[in-house]
Amino acid sequence: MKKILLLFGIIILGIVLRIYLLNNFPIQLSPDEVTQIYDAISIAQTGKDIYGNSFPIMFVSVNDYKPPFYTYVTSLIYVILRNKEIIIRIPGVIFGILLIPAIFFFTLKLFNNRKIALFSALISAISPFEIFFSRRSFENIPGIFFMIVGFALLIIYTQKRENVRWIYFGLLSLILAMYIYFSHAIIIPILLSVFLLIYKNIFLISVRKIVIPMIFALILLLPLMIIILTNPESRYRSQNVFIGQDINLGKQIDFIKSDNQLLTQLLSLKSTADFSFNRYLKQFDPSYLFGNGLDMTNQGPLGMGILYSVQLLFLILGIIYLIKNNNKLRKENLFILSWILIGMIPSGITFEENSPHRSIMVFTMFDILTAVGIFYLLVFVDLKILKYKYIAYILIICLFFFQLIYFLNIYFVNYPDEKSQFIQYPFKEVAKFAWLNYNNYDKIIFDPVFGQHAPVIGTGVHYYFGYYGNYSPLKMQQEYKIGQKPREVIFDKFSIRKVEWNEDKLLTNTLLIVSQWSVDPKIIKANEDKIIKTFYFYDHTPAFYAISIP
Amino acid sequence: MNRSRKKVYLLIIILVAFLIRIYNFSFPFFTADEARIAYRGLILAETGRDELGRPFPLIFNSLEDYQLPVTSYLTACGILLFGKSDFGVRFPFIILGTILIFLIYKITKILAKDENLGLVSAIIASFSPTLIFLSKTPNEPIILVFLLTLLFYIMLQKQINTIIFVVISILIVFTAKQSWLILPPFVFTFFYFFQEEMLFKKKVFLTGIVLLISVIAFTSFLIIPQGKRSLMENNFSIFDDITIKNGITRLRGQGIEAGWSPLLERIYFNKTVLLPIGFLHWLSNIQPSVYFGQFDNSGLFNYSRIGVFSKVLIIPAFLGIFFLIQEGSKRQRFLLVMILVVTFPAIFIFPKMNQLLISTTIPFLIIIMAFGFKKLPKLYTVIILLVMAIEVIINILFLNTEAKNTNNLRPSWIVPIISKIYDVSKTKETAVSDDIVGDIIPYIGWQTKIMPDVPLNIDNFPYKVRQTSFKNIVLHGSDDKKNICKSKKDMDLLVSNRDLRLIEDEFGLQNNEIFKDNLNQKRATFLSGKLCIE
Repeated sequence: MKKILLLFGIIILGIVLRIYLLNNFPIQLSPDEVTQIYDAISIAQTGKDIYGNSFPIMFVSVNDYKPPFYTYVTSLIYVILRNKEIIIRIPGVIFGILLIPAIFFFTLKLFNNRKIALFSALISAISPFEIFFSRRSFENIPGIFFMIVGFALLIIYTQKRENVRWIYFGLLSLILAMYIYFSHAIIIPILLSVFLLIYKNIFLISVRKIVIPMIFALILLLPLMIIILTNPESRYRSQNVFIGQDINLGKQIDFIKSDNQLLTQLLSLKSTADFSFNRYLKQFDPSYLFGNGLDMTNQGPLGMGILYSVQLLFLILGIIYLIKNNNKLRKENLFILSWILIGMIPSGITFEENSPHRSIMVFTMFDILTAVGIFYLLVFVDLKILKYKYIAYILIICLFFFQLIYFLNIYFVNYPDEKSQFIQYPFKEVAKFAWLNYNNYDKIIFDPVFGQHAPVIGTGVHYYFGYYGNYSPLKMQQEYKIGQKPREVIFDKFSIRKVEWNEDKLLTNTLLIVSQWSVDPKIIKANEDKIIKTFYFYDHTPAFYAISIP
Repeated sequence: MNRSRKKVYLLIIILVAFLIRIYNFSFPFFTADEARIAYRGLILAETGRDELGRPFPLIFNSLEDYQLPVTSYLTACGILLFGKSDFGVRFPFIILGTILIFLIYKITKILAKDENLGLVSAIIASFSPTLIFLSKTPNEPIILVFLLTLLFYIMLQKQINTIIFVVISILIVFTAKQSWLILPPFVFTFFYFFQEEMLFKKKVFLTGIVLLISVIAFTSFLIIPQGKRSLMENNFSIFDDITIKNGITRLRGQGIEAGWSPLLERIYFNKTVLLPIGFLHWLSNIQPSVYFGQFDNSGLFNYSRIGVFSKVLIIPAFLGIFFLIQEGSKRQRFLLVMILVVTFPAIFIFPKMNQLLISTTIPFLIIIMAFGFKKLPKLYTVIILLVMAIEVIINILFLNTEAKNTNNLRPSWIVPIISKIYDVSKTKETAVSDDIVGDIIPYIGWQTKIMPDVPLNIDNFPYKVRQTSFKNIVLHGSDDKKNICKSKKDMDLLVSNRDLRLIEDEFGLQNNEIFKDNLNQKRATFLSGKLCIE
């Protein structure tokens, strides 16, 4: 009873950390969020995305072909709650909260130890990466939830072999995880094979029992395989994020080129493998994991890691504990090791230096290992220095509490200031202002090149304009078109494109929204009298200027 | 396997290692610093003075930092023995690298009490890309690794010979600055794990000696006018890091502005953050990607696209750690602790990775890997070692990419340029752009073997020395004006693209001799008697 209450308390803590000021932090909908919410509304209202594709299996979005789960779930929530910005964050938060008991359940089944399970749930509840990703709309959190549940159910089968329903439910959950997050579609079959191999003595005894569920799983997986293998958009997305896109690797392969075609190809292949392996290993860099991996500031090493830095100590203790008890926990150890090694593969083969969102399953396992480490320390204290038991508890709680407050400080204060550009702040304000002035101008032109320190091109701008203008998705489906000018997207009286000042200044009754990167600051200064509004980044530096051309 | 057969195997392994190190002798081309050491070695061997004209100095200079003496004098020894050639410079380091394999074999044998594991460790050491690479150029890391391993071996003997112990310790502190922080904890930790039978007094005595030697070296260095600055910039850079300083102020300011308690902000953002940052940076120095992914992408301390070891060795490495935690004796676990002890100064060297410190862990990691093979069936051992050998050999054989990767750091294309400069400067003054490579004077010195005018008019302990003239050769720095001295007699010029751009329009300088680099890009143009630059 006491343990259930504790778990309940932990879940409450997790809920508070995930929903507190959810509407305001992150400070604005990111391009991913705004594209998904507007497509979700479009689906709910018309059965099509904003480009007119009926119930798509991949959303074109901003040509990044998003997996469908998150958008469809959001459209269901939209039907219930109607249009509020927060609805896009609800699925992430719900699954983020559900992940806490799921991890408790998984750990309990894996180690058969309630204390470790409770510690895992607690670490999960306060874990920086889980809070961070739960509060953003991201399909990886629902994906990992179903994955954890799926494997927990399979572990139950290995312990209570008589009931085959655990296999059915487990596989069903894993298949759901694969549909939700496409990178799981590669990872889960590999991990599942390893799992079956580890527990082969159990599954081989009852081959008959697993054959039918496996066939059932394969049938359910068939549509997903067809999507992945035959859908050009899905392949396009995979190619777009593949490590081959990396500039440094490209340079390496250029260096290899010689007259001998075969040798060039072999060495290029080796170079790609070397590069990928190195990237894979770099995901285990302690500075990334415990220092600044969440990339929440621009201050070099000062920031927030994926995990709390104090977890490092317990993680090492956890690993030592498992190694020392390898004779008792051989299968569990092998499964954990496989989970970590396989889980990092997506980050090793994609073009980004570090992509924490692709490695969530590994970080979740690190949280569990942290819990094992805490357990080990407390067992040690219990055995050797019993009188200090409560001091050890208090010390551990203080350490985590200190780091939690640090994370919250970074999250609510520094992160918005430092990284507002990365969620395209203040595009919402720009969109709302444009709609406010809709009737005053014949044309509204917006050049989304902006930046605090260097220019970047904002994406999904028509989504921001459509969503914040309550613009009917049906109308958007009809109005949206690609223009003739560079980067031009047109709908209604809006033109989102590159601004050419010398031409555009000659327009009449037009609202131009530009930044210092799209129009020379000297020109902006010279036209100060025409600026009707300045938009600022969250740290109060200017982002855009609305210039009225009479 | 009988013992004599094993000895034959060991001999074969060492011979193969020697051949690998001697193969493609001219690779890698020297960096400016290595060329400086080579040239210094030549002058020391021939005149007893360094390139700045100081007789037998204990502190040398370079473009980056002060240099301790062992590397330069060892190079001088090689030149004394084998003459003024690349061979003379590289040979002592090849020998050290080869003997190192024997030492690793011996230590493994002592710790594992298993000759087969000794042989395995010797094979791994023979094929370590980093050890191969470092054995081919004059550098501090290979000497430090060798001396630390030798000290470890000496200390493992039943009776530690105090004189040898002291001599090696002194050599270590005169090899690299980082050793001052490594040596005392190394010896202290060793005595914690080993030599239970040794008298406590002797342990204290030996630890005290190395502590004293290190402290003397450290304080003597501080006496040098720019010693403190050199340490701060190169060995304790974390305290000087402007990103961290500004970051603390900025993040704290944001919190206060947002209404958070200034006290809370001060608690979270203050100079104590250096501790976790340094600590994590230290651990990043010894992360798996450094050992099995990429050790040094610049190509200074290793082939630029490979780790310290072949990728496949990650398997025995983790099995070795696993073995030591689960079954290892106290003495064997010393290896794990040692990796942390010898790299801990990396805490202070932020944000750069410190390859010298990482290098010192190589022997310990090799022995750990050997333990890892204990967990593997023989067939797997053979397969892993074979895959390792194949990967390393491919890297050694196909070096075309390496030459391109290190186009600026190891400019093998500079040789014809130096020949040209040498030829034309014999008869008249020659101006050379100073950005053709980072520091061209050491290359001119080493490639041409011209003896310098000594003594140069400089103080005894200059910091970050850059020579701008050498005999008839004058370096021409960056300028945004065309400093053409029309009144003077025209001179021979070897100009970089930077300087050529300034003058080519006006003077219509076409059809001149050009020099290209490894990427087939134009790097220098020879203008004979057309202009005078001041």
